[in-house]
Amino acid sequence: MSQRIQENIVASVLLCIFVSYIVITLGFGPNAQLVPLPIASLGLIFLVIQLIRQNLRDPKELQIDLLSSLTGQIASEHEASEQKPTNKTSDKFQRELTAIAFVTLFVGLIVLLGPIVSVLIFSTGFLVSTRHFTLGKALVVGTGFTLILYVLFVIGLQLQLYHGVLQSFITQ
Amino acid sequence: MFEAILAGLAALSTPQAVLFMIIGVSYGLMIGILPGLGGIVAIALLLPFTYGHELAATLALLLGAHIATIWGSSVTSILFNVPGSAKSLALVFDGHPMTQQGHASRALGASATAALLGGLMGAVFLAFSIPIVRPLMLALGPSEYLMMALWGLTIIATFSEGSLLKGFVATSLGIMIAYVGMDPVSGTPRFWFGNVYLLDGISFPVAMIGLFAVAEMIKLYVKGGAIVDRVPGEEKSSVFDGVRDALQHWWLILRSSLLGLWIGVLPGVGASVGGIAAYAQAAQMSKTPERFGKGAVEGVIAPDATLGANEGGGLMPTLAFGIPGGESMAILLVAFLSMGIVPGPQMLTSELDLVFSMVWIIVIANILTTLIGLSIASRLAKLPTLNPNVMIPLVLSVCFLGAFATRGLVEDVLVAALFGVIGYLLDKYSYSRANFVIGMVLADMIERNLHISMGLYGNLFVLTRPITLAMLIFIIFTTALPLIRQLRRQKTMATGSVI
Repeated sequence: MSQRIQENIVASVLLCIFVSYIVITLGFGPNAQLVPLPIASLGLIFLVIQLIRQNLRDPKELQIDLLSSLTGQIASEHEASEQKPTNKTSDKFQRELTAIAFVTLFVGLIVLLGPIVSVLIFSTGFLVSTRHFTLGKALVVGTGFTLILYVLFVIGLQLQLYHGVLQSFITQ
Repeated sequence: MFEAILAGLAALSTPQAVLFMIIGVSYGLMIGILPGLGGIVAIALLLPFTYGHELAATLALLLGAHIATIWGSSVTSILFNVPGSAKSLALVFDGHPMTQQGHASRALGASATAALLGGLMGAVFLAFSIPIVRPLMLALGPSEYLMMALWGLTIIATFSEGSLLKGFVATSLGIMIAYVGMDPVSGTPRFWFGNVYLLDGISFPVAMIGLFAVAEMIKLYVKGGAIVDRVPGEEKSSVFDGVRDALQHWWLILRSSLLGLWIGVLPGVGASVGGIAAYAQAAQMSKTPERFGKGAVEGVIAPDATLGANEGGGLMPTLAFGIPGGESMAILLVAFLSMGIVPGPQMLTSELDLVFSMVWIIVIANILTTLIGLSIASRLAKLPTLNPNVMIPLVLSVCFLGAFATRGLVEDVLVAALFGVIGYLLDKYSYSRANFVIGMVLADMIERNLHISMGLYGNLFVLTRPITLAMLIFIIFTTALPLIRQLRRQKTMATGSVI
């Protein structure tokens, strides 16, 4: 997927958010909509201009910023991705999906089992899955880390632990 | 004033404050040295620990960590050719060539000393600016504060990295998110979709953890591979050669520190611009500019002095007007608010000792960072490798446990994860996260002051208050100027290409 299509998708999603926000705001009283309405309307106008501009400009100009113009780093990466959108882009997209899947998995574990057990399972599992450590070594690192966090949060901060959705099923 | 200076120091002499300062600085150094984890992530991860302790001690933890990350990030740039954070990019240009030539320890020594001297200048500036700013602040009313907040928003968007329009869009999004929950003025529940959790609004610390720390971990995973893998060479100079270099270039340090102060005071002109600007001025004013980029020690000294001084400069508008100088100051502001510290006139009148505690923290944290830094510099110079695979699960665990710890709600973990993905996408498509956060932080100030101004001075208060009107004209001018310049530049370029 080219940079321009990606930028357009993101802008379209934002456009939907701005429009929905404005529609909801119109249902509030005059005091409650006094600031959110003009801000969302201004945001919408800026976004529409951005959307038009990014479709009229050269694709190379889409991601220029201060640091990249000083170093030329992102611009060249960008050029490369425009020229060869196949392998590198799909590989990156796959890694992005995997990263988001990891985050979702971790959050899912926390909801199901509570934070402490999830930290042990996730950190051990991640270290093994990335082949950085063997299972035994990962288990030692994961357990050690979980213990540190337990001391810091549960004993130090006296955090009331959440034991997860599964516990209520088990106790029932 | 003198009593407040002493009271500020006395508040930091308790065992808890001393312990928190040491923990903060050590933690900040560690986080700073890890590439990709700068001061913002360091503070975001500390937010859950800001409740239930002595105020000065908690400030020592937060500010101490933040200050230590500055030098920590420089270490990564110098040793590994990977900027620890965007603001230490300039240190790569000459710092890494020095490492390659066997002068890593010398570069680290010069960098630590320059950061210390710059940091001390920042602290002195903050202390001296208080009596000057105080009468000005007391003369301002809610309508002027509203204009200052609006100016903060527009100037931030104008100076932000990337597209100007995207900067404004990100700012609007941040403000919009801040209005989720109960309206404090009219008591109307807004954007809560019948969900009781949303009625309380999005927790700022949780959003910060997601936007910066979780998003950085996603970035690290996507980037893949080892962050750094190198073979350390033999050292040809010592840390003390670097200290001597820094002291010999005292004029450069003074110039760079003044630049850092100025950039810190201006809202939105982040430290990343400061580092580059300091490097550029050092090169331009050098008698031997041809040495720059090949391992000139001045190329290390100038950016570090600027970054050190930047913090004192940035704290001034943050504390005095509640307008953060950049994203790190915005997160500090979130921390201040969650600790019950409300920036504004009250801060420089009834809470003056707290402000001086911060001045002292900058001084002590800078000295401590330099002492620790100089003592470990030679060991750091031999650091061979850094791998993200160990870092990601550990930091993510702290993020999610931290999000849960802020209010004991599992929904906060979901929000942190969601903001993590949002933060990643904002960063990827150059919708400035800094603008988003600053919009979030200033939203409440704008709404409150607008309602108060309308209540006190009527709906047309802008026209009846001359200072407010002058400030509005100034806002329009400062917002329009870069747009006009950009249009002119494009026109000139178009004319040039036709010719």
